[in-house]
Amino acid sequence: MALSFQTVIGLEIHVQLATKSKLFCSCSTDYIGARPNSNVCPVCLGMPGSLPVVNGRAVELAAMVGLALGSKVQQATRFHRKNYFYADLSKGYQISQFDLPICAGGLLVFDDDEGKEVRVAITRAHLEEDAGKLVHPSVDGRLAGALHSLVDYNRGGVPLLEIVSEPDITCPPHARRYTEEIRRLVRYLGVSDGDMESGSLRVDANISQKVSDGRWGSRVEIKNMNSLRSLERALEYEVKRQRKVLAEGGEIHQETRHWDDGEGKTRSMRSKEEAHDYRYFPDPDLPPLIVTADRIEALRSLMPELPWQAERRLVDAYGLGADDAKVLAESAAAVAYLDGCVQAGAEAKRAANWVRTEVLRVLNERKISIEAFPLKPESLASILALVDRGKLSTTAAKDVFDVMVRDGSGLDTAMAAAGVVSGRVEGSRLEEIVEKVLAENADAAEAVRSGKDPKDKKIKFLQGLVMRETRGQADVAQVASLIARKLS
Amino acid sequence: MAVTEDEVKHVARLARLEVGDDEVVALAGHFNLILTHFERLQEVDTSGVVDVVDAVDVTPWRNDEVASWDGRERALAQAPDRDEDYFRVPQILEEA
Ligand SMILES: [Zn+2]
Repeated sequence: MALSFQTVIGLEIHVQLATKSKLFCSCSTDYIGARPNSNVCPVCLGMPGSLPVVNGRAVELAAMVGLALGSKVQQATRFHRKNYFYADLSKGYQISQFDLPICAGGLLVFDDDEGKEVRVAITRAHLEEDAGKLVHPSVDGRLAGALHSLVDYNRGGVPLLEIVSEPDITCPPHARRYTEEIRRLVRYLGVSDGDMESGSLRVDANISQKVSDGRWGSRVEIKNMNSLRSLERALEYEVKRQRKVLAEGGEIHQETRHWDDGEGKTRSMRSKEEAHDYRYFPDPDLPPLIVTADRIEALRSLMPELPWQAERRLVDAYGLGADDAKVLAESAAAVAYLDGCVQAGAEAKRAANWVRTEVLRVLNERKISIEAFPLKPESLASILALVDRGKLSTTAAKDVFDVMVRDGSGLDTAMAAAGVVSGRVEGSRLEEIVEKVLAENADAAEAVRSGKDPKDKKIKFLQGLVMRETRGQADVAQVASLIARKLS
Repeated sequence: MAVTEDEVKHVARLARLEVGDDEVVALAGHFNLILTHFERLQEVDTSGVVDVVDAVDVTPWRNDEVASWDGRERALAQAPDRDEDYFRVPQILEEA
């Protein structure tokens, strides 16, 4: 009888917390592009006699994630030393949390790609410091020829929150969805920029197989997945690999494997015999971390609406489609912007459509965040009000929008600058435009006049030009009859 | 629960300490003396004693403010080896 398999996945997600200074010292966390070893001090360089002092903001951000995930935010926790030697670690140990993490337990509920609900329990989330960065200079392009490695401690000591899930995930797409949801949460809360490419969000996966004949494959840890796509690909690959070994009667050994994105394979990492003998012990340099009940309650009262709550509200209260709601609820600022438009009187669905297309387009073009978007929600609402009352066509409205965004001008100025008038283009003004179009396109006009336009192609062309001149603000039937009259 | 010579060697390796064979024997003896002492402490009834984390009321927190340090050049200069802005260490291959 053929064997069947069950996949068991647990994820460890490291999120870089968006603080200005490091977890235990006042050095800047802004290491990207910084001169090597410019954001360092005796604490993060591990100088004897220096003393770490915890960054309160990092503790708050960690607690916010815990509150959002329904974790117990523990009032009394402590920091441990995780001891190992590696050159990216200045002290010979990493300050982390061990038996008393700041957040214990929790649950993340999300829909999979088919819209089915998935529930993944959270084991814990703990604070720890990041390591420095190693640079491996090459000799003649060959890494193996280099005699030295170079170390930059700018990233050393940057605060991380490690969020550990229970092994509740049953397939690679769910692992990807879980990670998307954690990323959306930390971005929405402003806890982290959650960027996988730059390493502000890093995922390690533990994956194993349960076989129908009662066997269990050992747990394999997968590292080096730098995008959601590589996470899913690496896990798909590993499911196949492990099932093949087990189906052939082989054994899966507990090990760490490295994902090679170019090759599309996971590869066994040389295992160091003492690699996991970290000899954790409480860091004597740091007093217990006490987050008082008052502080936790103060944070709880400041917690914003969560992304999944916002998504549901956009559907329920505004009647948005599931897709629109999901896109907008990626960002708290986008939701706040839409709320601003609706409060200023805009119809929710139309406003959502504009925010999703026009506003996000400008943000992408300018590579700015919505907080820096020059148009206030009230201004967008005022444009949309004219559209609603039939005073502005959608085309004309977009012109006005573009001018307001470009110049930062008010509605009336922008309308004048865009050459747009409120209301219908008709009467003598429309007649002027028709005459201008006919004069500029004398050939087409003559063809229509002399009956050489059997399929009405040319007259439609002329009508189109007139509509474009009026920015869509003329009545099509009126334009057609006017042209016909002029050419009869 | 006696510490064996192998355990001493293992701990020495973890701590990156070079320990000679004769020292291993002596150190195993020292380890065992210390552990015997702690075994005596284990006999104390601590069931009513609160954990240190429950004995502290408040932790000093640092505000999230950046301050730069002007000693980077001194730190780099004191390192066993440097390459301009970097600390230079013996070659480390990525564990791939
Ligand atoms: Zn520092």
